[in-house]
Amino acid sequence: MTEQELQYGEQLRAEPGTILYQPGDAVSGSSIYYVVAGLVRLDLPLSERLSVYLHPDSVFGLVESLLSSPRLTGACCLESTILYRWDREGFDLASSVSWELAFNTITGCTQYLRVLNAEFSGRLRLAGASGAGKGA
Amino acid sequence: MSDRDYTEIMKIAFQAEGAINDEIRRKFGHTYQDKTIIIKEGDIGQQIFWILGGEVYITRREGTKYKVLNTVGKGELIGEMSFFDKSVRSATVISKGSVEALVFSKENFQDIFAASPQWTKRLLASLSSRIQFMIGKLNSLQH
Repeated sequence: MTEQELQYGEQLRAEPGTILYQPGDAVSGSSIYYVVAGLVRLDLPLSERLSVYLHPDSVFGLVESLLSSPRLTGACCLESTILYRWDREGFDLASSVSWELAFNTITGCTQYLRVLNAEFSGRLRLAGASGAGKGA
Repeated sequence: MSDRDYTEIMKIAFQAEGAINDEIRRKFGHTYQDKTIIIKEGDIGQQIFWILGGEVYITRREGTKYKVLNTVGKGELIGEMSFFDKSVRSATVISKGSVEALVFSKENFQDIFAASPQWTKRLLASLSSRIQFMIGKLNSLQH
């Protein structure tokens, strides 16, 4: 991250186990995060937990901010983590001057979608197999 | 997300105003002769093709033959699934007659961004909606 991008937000340090947000939390203020160093886990609140692990250069928390929706997932720091965070306006400014930030953010979204798609397909197959078993 | 949904998202993104100008055309424009293999099934590639003129066959290999799944033309995007996130090409794309296309690789993202930063915002908004939709679908499987 360059100073140009950083000037639009703020840095924070989080200890292992810090919960940044939980599913259903309202989104306000600095709600879009960037992992500078450390490890963060996003958890989807399903009956069988679905987790995505985020490494440095990952951007998260954007979806709810763009959609003005409560948090869809939980976010927890697994290690001592340094994060950067923006509010919506700050992120818009930072991502309009930094193609790297825009690229990382889009790539993160496509990777997350692939996980969701694959999980959905896998669970559908399982449900189908289980239904077929019951029918037989 | 299906291939079709993803294509729609990318189309919205690329149709942002000012996305194409003469400089972009000169820098990224390619012409393919009839029956040229543009994308090969099973390859790994991180290029996206935006068709400016002509048509291509989207095919899948079945034994020794290629089965045509679809024909797409001007304004369509192909190869988008591999652009941001490396994935194996799922079809072979062959030119039907002469084809003109803009070809972007991952390394060109900076140029596309410079041409139209707005399209990244549109793309992010569309991707966010798709993520929300898929989370909803996963939740619905539980009930």
